[in-house]
Amino acid sequence: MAKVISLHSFRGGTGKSNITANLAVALATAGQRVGIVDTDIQSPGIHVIFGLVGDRVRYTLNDYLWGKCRVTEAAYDVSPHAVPRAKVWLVPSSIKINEISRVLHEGYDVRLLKDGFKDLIHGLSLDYLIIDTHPGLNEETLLSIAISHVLIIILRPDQQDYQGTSVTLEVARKLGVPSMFLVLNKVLTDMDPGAYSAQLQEAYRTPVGAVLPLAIELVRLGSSGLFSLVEPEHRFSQEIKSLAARIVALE
Amino acid sequence: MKAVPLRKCLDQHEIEALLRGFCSLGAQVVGICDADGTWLAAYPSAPDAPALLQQASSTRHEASDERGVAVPLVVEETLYGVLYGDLAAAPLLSALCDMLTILIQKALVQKALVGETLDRYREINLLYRAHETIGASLDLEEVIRRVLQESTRIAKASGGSVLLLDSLTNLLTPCDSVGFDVARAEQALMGRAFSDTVFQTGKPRILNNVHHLMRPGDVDEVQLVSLLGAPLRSSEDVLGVITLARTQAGAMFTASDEKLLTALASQAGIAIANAREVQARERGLKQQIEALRIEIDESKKQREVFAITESEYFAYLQENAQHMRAEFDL
Repeated sequence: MAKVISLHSFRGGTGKSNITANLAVALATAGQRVGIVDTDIQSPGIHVIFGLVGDRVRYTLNDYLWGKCRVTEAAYDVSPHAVPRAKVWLVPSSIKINEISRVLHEGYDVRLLKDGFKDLIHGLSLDYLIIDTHPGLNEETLLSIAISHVLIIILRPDQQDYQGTSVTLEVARKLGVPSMFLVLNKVLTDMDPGAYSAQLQEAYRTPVGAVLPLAIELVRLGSSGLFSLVEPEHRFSQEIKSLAARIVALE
Repeated sequence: MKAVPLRKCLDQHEIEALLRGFCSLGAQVVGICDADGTWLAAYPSAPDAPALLQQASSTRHEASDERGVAVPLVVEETLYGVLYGDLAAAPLLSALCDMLTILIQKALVQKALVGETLDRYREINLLYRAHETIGASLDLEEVIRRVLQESTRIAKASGGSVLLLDSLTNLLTPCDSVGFDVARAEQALMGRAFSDTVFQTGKPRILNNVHHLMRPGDVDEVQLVSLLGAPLRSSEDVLGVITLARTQAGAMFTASDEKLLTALASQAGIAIANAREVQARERGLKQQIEALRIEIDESKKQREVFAITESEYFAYLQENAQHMRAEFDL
């Protein structure tokens, strides 16, 4: 039985794609077959973290949505070589300006996404499909949230993020999402993660999946690689690993 | 060196054997008595010559009469006892006196060493107990209070004060005191000169006979007799100073007091640094909790949620979400 996980943030710049990529690898390392769909069509980015660039990309999610290919044809094996037997596929969004522009102007049938997700799960025999959503709440992100078994909301220690997260949570509750986690990212390293976790739990009545540090090592690596493979013992990597274990343990 | 009774310096059996040996050399009567006239050993029996013994004892010179000779046993200007012998023993008494003097000197050195070892043992015990007491709290005020109580108790001081460096003013500032208010008295008498010197040099200091600094009007008010100060250290940093005072006439601090207070102050410095760290962490945690205060504008939230959920599309999703999720389970 496959599970759909959506990673969402109310605003951009929360580090969502980075967390998505590292969570996918953590799940795959735990023996799960994982697919990722970059539905952030307006500003795609997760493909860079997996090094999926250049001629290797023939079809993208955009091509699937415009009926040019089957969704599985736009899925690329990005399994990390460093982890034997780990299986990760990525469906990237197009990075071509004209194609992004066309999506913005013409839109697309978001219901096609749901069918694509289903085909991907069955075609690749996935255990988990992770959706890297566009920030904010629009038709596409609402669909992603609605079909998710697990919703992970990423936020930063910032009043605007706190307010936006409360809206997303309320909407997700109305859609009956079975499991939700809050992930607080970019926390200054001299701050106490335990205090943050307790405050979030108290304010939102929602489990806190991870409190991730704004570490200099992370900033230095940027989007050029998978941090949890480069620094497996780092608190960031350990927190992601722990979150993956909690997701796998869900009924 | 402190005088020790003769009976504690010499072994009774050895003395008796020694006297018997002297008698075998020709003496008829030989005996040795304590400084107070009590016979320690005599051969063949205690002679009856109180006047002669008294004379040798009081004059600290050899005394003799028609029956015998009395020789005082004086070691390092202290009278330990008197040797007595009949006239036949007289030529040997001087040699016996020399032998006994050497034995007494050895015994005194040995006792001094034992005494010193005992003193060190007591110091270690005192410091150990003080360490346990001081280290039992992480509350800064409580730690300082305990430091003062233990220090004044161990050094038998009339009072003590702890002064810590104020990081804002960069001045030594009194934090607490027990008993006689040393910080106030020091301030009245010499400003902060004594504590400042200890702080700046990072070395302990004794100032006895403080009265020579006093003006006639100070005496009743200040009462200080002697001061002892030691730096409160944590690693290489000097955090402040602990200053003790004695107010009884003639009560001086000694090098031994200084050594004890220095050892105690080094423990106290670490305890104070730890308590400060805990205090800083607690303060930081409070600030963090304050920084993380999550304020959600409920009416704004409800407006935004309503704007999203009122649409037909949302109603469709709401109605079909469960069904759509179930499709992935097939």
